[in-house]
Amino acid sequence: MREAMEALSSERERLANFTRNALASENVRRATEKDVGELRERRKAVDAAKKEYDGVRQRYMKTTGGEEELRAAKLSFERARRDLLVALQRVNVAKHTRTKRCAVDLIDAQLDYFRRGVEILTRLSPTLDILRKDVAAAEAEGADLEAALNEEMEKLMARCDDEAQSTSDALSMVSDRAREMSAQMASSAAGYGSSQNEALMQGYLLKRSSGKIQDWKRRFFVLDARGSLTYTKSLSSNPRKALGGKLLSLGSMRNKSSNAPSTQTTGGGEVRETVSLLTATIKPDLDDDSNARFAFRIVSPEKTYYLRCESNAERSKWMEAITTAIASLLNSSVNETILAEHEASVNKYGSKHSRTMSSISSVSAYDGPPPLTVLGAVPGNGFCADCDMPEPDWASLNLGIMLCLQCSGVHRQLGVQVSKVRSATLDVRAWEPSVLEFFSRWGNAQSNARWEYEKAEVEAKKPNKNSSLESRKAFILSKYVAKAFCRREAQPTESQLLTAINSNSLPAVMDLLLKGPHIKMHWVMLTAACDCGDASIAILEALLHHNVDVNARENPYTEDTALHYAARRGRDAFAKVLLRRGADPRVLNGRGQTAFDVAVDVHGAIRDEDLLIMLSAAQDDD
Amino acid sequence: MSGETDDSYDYLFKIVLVGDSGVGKSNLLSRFTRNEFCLESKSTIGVEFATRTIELQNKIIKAQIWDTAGQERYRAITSAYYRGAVGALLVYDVTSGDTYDNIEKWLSELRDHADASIVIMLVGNKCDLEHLRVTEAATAQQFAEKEGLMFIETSALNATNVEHAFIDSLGRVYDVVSKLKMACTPSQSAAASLVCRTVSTT
Repeated sequence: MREAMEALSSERERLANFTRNALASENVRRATEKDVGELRERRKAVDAAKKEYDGVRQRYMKTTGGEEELRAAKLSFERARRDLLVALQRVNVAKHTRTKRCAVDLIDAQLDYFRRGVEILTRLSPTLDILRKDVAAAEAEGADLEAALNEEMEKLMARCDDEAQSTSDALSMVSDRAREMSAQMASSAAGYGSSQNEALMQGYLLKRSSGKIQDWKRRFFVLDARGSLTYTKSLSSNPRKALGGKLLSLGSMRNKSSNAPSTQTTGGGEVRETVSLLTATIKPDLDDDSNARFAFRIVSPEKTYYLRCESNAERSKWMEAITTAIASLLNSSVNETILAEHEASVNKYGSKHSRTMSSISSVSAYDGPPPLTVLGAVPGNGFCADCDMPEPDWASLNLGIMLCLQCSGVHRQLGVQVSKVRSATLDVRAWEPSVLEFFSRWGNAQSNARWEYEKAEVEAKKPNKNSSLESRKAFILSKYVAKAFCRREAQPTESQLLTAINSNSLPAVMDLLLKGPHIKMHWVMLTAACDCGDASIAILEALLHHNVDVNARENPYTEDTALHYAARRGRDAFAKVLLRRGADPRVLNGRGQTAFDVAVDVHGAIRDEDLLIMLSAAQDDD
Repeated sequence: MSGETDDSYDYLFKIVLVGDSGVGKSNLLSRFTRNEFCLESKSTIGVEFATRTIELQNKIIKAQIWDTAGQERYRAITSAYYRGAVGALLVYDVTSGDTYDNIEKWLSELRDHADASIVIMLVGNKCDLEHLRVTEAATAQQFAEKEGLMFIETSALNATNVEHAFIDSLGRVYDVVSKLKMACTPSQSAAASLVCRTVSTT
């Protein structure tokens, strides 16, 4: 700096002859060139450290050990990176001061030019002192930033390299670069928030290339707040292409810089790809292949992405984030299209239905108000059963409860034996009248009175709407799988269950099913449910979610199945529930009759035309 | 499987009742299968079934008669209703011109959905109400001949010709079936109706 100052003062006479602009740009460029030279050296150091780090990591990924070596290499790499940052900071600060200094110099030069006196110089020196203080302050600030902004540094470095690479583009050179650098610094000074698109998750992953040689390449992946996952590759590879993810986009750029950096460069040329998440699913890969440790896959109809992380924890973080993104994408975007379709099908069904004789229980899922309206009105259903998030729109069909999106995701992982998750708005076919009947007689309040009986324990652990996925998962597992908060009671007997069914009490039945999930359901229980009062179809619905062979021919005299029984008694609505739950209309009873034959011969009528179609069609199938 | 006598038969024929609402289909059915008549009967909901076993030419024939509401046509149930039917009683009310006029529509529905070889009997019901008669028997007879249908006038109220209407139809069905010379083996199986359908389609 002092050199620059000296140069400036010695050239003062000459500078006075130049215009202000020409003077400023020339000086800035000269100074910058020098700084960039230093930067280049730093960069080289970083590259060397990085190369070593890459080498060590490669070895680490192939073998199981070597963590120590990796850590050491990483450390040296980090150190080199930090050095680079410091250099960059310095360049930036110097640039700022230089610009200001130029202005001051100009004034100085003008004063000199006009007055040509020593007093001018003495007036100039205090100003320079202030500037020096500014420089020192800026440098201190830069050091603070360095510690806080590791992420930003990554980007900064990337961009710097980017500029260094495109040698050919030498158009706006110094001033352009200076502008970009200062913009970058401004953003880093403002903090993380100002980076292009708020990223939920970002970092390097190994991506298996899709070509013939399926080697793993490092790519910078960013999952942003809009649920788009994109990654960038080096400049040498394919140009930008979007993989059909119109909802997905991403802002992140990354470039590999192993080439000789050049001084006169400019930004541009980012290559990024978007992974279509909307239609994708995500799967972990087994760790048995030593070449693919910590791997997972994103499978979409167009393409399968094989990705690897560097540790198991990292993998689960990524997978969780992507899973959540997929779920929210589905929830937000598909909502509209599916609902439109739903609307259309309702209309179609409705008009068809109006032409149909509406028989007693000619039930369709679309009669009456939409499922969510019915479900939301049930006590307790205004809030998620597990985290109290308001207006839940997911449900567990067997537990009879409403859930928020996040908790429903955890329920899904429990398996259908524990919880069978459906959407109240998207799974239009799930909401048969019997299912709605079951839900409206049950609901979150009654369910939690049992599953969360131990209130003190629950209060300590129950997640709220802002809780993390982990804490939800822990709570839901202990609530429904370990049954940690239920009242401890003896296993119920079959006769207790039968009594509860006969007393037409859904809460009593649910109580017993909770306590004895493995209690064997018999034909007699299903048929008892068919014959009970107004809650009976809800009871049948609940029973059918448990350990039951719906096609068992258990009647000792007729060898009827439950479906035969329903047909015999003309219980059309029950017959339909049974059919929907896997009752086979072709099963013959002891007299060689199907349920349809029984309906014809014994009951003499099928009032429900849908049921007639279901039963008689099976008749002709064989 | 079961040796019970009331379950044994040589043939099971599915007969459907079609025609406008209120022409007396359900009463024809109850008269034939249970010898009952109900003046205040309501519209049929869904489908009702009744069976009666008769003996024809030393064969036991079980008639499974399907009765459905006549108000509506073009329903989802239509094809299920006609599927496998070997005979149909196409019923109109002799005291209501509209029900006779609609015969052609019912006939085309039958031809669209039922098997081509189905035996159709045109039945002019309520012939006891002679003083209210609108459709002459001769007119209907002429129409039946033109369309290749059997024809009879009945009264479910006083049981006139009800027996004939069903038994003549079943006899014709039996003729068609045996003409096809398919060994429709005696069976107690519930699949017998299917067998008959197969026979009539072949």
